Amino acid sequence: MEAPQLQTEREGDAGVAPEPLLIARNITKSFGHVQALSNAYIDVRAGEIVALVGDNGAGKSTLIKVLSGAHRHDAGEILVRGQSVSINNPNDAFDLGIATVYQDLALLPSRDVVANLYVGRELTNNGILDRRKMTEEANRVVRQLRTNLPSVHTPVRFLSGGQRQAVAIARVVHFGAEILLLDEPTAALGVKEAHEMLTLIEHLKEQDKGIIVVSHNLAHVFRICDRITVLRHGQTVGTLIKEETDSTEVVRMITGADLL
Amino acid sequence: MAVSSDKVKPLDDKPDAESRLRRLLSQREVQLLLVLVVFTVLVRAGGAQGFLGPTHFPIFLSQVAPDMLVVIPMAMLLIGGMFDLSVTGVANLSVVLVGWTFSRLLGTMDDTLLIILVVAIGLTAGLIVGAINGLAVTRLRMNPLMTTLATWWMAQGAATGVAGGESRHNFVGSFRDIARFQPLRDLGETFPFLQEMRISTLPMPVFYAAIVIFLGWLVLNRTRFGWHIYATGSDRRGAALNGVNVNRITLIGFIATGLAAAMCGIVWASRLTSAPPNTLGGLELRVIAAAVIGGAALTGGEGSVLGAVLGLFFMHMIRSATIQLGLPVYWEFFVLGAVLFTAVAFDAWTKRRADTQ
Repeated sequence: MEAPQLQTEREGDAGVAPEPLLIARNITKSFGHVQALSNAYIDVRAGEIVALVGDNGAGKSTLIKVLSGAHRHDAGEILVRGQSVSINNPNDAFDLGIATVYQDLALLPSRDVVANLYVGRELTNNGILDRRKMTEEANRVVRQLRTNLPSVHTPVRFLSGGQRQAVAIARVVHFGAEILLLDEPTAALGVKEAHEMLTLIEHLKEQDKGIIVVSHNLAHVFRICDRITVLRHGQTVGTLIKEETDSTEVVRMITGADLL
Repeated sequence: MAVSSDKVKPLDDKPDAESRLRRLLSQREVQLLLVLVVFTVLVRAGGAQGFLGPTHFPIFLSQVAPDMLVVIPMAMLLIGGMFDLSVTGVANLSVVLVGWTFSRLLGTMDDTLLIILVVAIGLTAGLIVGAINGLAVTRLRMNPLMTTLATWWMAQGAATGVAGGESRHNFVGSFRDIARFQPLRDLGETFPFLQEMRISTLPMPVFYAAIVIFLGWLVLNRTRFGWHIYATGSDRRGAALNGVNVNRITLIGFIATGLAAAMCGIVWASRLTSAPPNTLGGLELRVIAAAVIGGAALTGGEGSVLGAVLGLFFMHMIRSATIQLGLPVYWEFFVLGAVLFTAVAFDAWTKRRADTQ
């Protein structure tokens, strides 16, 4: 088992807890009469995995969309690396190093991994594609993520759901994302693939990414995350440290049952 | 990292010989090339000894060349997820405009200037129809099948309308050079082997086709624009989300196809030195079928320039073989249809097999 060992390593320098990469506080967002978020809070540090949990309609997706620039929040403050920022569209988020991997991955099925990694940002040399460099880089990125792929020249169509997700994540990591927002990364996957995806997310943590994972699966949440932020009716009910809680308590907070 | 190390197969840049051979044989271009070789051997064994021999091959190339101008941009359009039925109409309109311009303006200006004007008018017709197709599909979100069927009829109708039931043939003599000039003829006198192999007799359209093939290959495989064509056809929304200007890709694709169809018409007018409005028939299905046989998917995202070239070769080889073997020419379309059916069935079979793996 590697996870506990990692944990002790982290506790070793816990005295100098780093400044959070991202803080979102007092986030409010309504759609017409529907108050989707009121006073939502979440933060994530480099090298940390924070799970965002809550019942359907609790505002998880809305909060992710606010952070990724898909929705503009009505009130509240977002701090990235200590600086107050405004995220008005996905490009702003990209420039700040925030990347979202949605369940629908926006990949190109007939194209290989290299072309998918570089679509829209292809490397050229005097106007001619630098295919060698792109292949080398793709191999490097894929190795770095310890992803299990047959070859970077395999069309994405032939990859499994988990491998496709890995390609989508590799794409945003390669282009400098430091803060990753993963929306239900294991929901569409089988048992083995889900396990591989969780391992991949742990590798991203080792590379000092700040990761927010939206998930319904508490077993997965407890396996990988450091902290758990619970949303209910658009509000952050609380953030729990994994070692100090269990799934019963989390479920109670999600459903709003008596906390004692 | 015991968890992952046994799972991760090394990413091999240098696969072993066997898997390399298997990968090679799984490529459509290689399969098609083998089919063409076997077909040639069978036709020669069946009695047409001269089939694609030194005498036949140069003639064969010059017969394929005008279609080749169109099949390359059509394949690129298919790879980008679109297609264009209007090419026959555009080519015939270009033929008729060439004839009409000559009959009106012959003698009023310098011959060379007139030829340049004629070519410019023909190409402009292709540019306009291509732009209409592209804008209708991207801006008005019209269906490409119905749009290009409509513009096909409009272009064909304009061609017969302008021709007014007659075929013009008072051309400038030197206009023939567009299709008939043999640029290597002088070289053939210096190097007799070029003459023996009949390479020196290759006419201009073969060289136009060679240029179009090279440019198509270069753009598709070696430029960002080419990768964006594949991306657009593979998943239009996914490509757009990643910053690919999908509408620009589609518009340029239709314009290139229109220009190529117009050039095809100009070559035919020059070759026939006559301008009937029904010069070309079935060009659209011939080039679409050739590209599909060559591995282009009607759903987009797949295909290659080499595949389209081989596919068109195959279509024309069937035609030549039918004639050389003395088979009833009326059955040619049956054979072409059967080949297309087989190619599409083979595609569906390989995709099904890959999906169930």
